[in-house]
Amino acid sequence: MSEGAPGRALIWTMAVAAVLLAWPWVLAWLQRVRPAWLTGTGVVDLAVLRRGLDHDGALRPGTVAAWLSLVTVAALLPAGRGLFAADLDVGVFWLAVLVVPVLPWLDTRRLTLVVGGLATLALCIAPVALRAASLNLADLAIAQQGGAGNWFLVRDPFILLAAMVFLLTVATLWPAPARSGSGGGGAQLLLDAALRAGLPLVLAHLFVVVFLGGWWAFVPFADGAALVNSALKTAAVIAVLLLMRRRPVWIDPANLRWLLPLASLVCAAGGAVWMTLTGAAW
Amino acid sequence: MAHTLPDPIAPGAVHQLTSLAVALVGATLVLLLLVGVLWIRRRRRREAQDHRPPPPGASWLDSGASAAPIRRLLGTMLLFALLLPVTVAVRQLWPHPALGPRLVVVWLLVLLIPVLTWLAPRAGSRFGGPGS
Repeated sequence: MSEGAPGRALIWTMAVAAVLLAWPWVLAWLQRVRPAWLTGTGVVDLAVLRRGLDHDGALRPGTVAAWLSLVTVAALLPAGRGLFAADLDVGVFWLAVLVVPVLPWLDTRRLTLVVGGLATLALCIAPVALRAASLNLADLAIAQQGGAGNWFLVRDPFILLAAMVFLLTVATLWPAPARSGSGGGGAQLLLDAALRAGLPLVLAHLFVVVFLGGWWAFVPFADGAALVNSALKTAAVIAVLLLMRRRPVWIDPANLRWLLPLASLVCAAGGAVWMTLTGAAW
Repeated sequence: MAHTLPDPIAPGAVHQLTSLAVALVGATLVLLLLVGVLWIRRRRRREAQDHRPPPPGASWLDSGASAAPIRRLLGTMLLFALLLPVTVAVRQLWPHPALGPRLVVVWLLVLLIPVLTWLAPRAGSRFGGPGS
């Protein structure tokens, strides 16, 4: 039976929010020591972040709504046994609902492309949910426990294709740098930086939960270190995304017009046919 | 034998939705903490630049109108922080077999404490207190 504990939800959510607030500072430090690693990401500089601590700035409602949504989505993603805000029976559906306020913050100029990108991500998750016979996020990871050999993307070619399309879409949706002069100050600047840096991090963690077995280790005997496994896998996915950002042809927003959505549709339909033919459908 | 209708609410659904709502509250709390910390930091820097150290023995409670914004912020944060335990306690104890409706009065009295704390310096400044 799926149940939530309000106290645990509050503590975990606040911890996740603190990580999201600290993440742009980590990236800014990384940019200072290894600038080549963050090519094409538009990470906010440390000096700008420090200025945000000292200057005043009005909070915009869109930024607040996007922040509340992103933190809630990040808190719902399971990072281990009991390491989530709520064990929702239809968690995948809730993610799709909660991510809506982030859309206008992401890019109002190209909203159709952003919506197309998020629809692509949803279609990539569909075959995994079908194979796991559940929309519960923890169930998607639990169904792939027991080592890398049990990952769906190893056993199903269409899910492997869906994973690649998912990564390409996330790399393409990486938020652009804030326009100069539009960052504001104070909490507005810090929240904006947290959102720009945090969205790829949250989507990378979602990829880990859906395609890489979540907190279960690569090899079965290391399953105990759940949080470490989640963190290592998420870091590896972030590294892959950063490599993708260095190749402009892979992150061309024009790919979101028809190529990536069509590929995700092929993955969803092909995955359904494959599961029916192989008897993997429940 | 009487046939009972199935419960329209699925088991565990209330827990899930409560946890989801608490997650949103947690995100809001962190946002309020961030705004509060930044506000305090900027105020201290402004005071340091103006070379105006606070008078000895004075507290923010005595400063009346000048401490109103931070008092409002802390009061709001306190109300949010009280919301969760109040909700959980009322849900667990209602209806209490012995107290019944009087439980609501008890919690209202408990909530009155931070409200009075928030109002007291304002009343003090209005009636000629040290901050007026």
